[in-house]
Amino acid sequence: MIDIIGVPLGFGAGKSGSELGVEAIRHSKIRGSKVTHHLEQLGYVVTDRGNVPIVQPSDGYKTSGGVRHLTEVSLSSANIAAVLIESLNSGATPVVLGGDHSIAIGSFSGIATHFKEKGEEIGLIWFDAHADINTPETSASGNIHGMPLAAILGYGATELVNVASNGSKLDPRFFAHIGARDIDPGEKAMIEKLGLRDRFFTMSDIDKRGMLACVEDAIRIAGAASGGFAVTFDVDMIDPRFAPGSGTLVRGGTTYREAHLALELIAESGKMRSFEIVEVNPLLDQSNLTVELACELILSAFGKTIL
Amino acid sequence: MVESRVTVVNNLGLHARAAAQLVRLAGQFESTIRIIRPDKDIFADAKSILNLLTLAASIGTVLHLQAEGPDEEKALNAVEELFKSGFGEL
Repeated sequence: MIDIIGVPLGFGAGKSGSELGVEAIRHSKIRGSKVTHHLEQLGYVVTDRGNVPIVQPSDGYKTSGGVRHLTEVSLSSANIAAVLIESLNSGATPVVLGGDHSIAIGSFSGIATHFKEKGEEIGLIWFDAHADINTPETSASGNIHGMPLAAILGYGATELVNVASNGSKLDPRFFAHIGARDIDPGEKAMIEKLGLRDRFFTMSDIDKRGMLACVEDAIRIAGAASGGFAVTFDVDMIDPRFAPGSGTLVRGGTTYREAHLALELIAESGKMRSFEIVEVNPLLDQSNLTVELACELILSAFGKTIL
Repeated sequence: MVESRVTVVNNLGLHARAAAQLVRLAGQFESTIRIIRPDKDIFADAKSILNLLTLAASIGTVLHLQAEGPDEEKALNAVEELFKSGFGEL
């Protein structure tokens, strides 16, 4: 059972447009059919739950304590978390369509709260060109989409740390990050401080060891959690040649096939409890390449294979 | 079917935590409970948090309540009380 949940929140990013990713993914057709239809063909019962109501900023670029749109993102995050909890309680596997990456604060807070109430641990595999582990103190832009990992680890603005339940949501023992190649100095210091170096499979690690070995390690780490793991996938992990429609592109990303391989392995593991795709920006896309790639990645994550 | 009218009295309105409380309460009854926002011509199933959040009911919003089923009276009273108590935030 799959629940499609749209989260049209794009004001956590510097460039607008990722809020349109939700409808673009929902309505685009690959090989003549929408992603929901393809998921049904894979044997799932799919329900489109519509979009999570987002609290919109009313007065331009409001900053509070070095964080842009803190109130709106934190109120919206509470909504996102509540909807994720409802979906997981019903026994469904949520597919969250973003939105910028700030939505991971709400989604993972909801997921973690659900599993905590069940007395289970939950892991997280995070695909991204960036570490997203800034805090208001280290962030140059104040954009919340650079802070979600810090927030769910319990660092940064209280309003973001305490979504759905108080304090840290993620046990670093069950966390793995794949594809990083653009990490701010403050983020490097944070990763070192928290002892997370071996949780990051950077592009350099992928170059040296190959995607297969890195993803197998990530699945082993996150899959050690008793409840399985959630996946959050920022399309900017993939090289801009294959995924040009995103707001913070960085050269030197993975290939198209490496991205699919990663998600095919995750599907094979049988331990994924939630999937999220973020930072698809149709306003910056070329010929719908990135949107269609996002649709295909969802299918790989749910078991679509070549043969 | 029984009906009544309530006004949202808590500062934060029918936000995520309040809506979760309402869903938990509504789930204790067999009856169908509908929350209607007449000024926007939208309604929500009180047993669905996503539905309730879509109402975006802030402080001062007038809502109509409808309950239908074997325990409709009890359900309506309980939901009315929850709104009046401001979801424990007053």
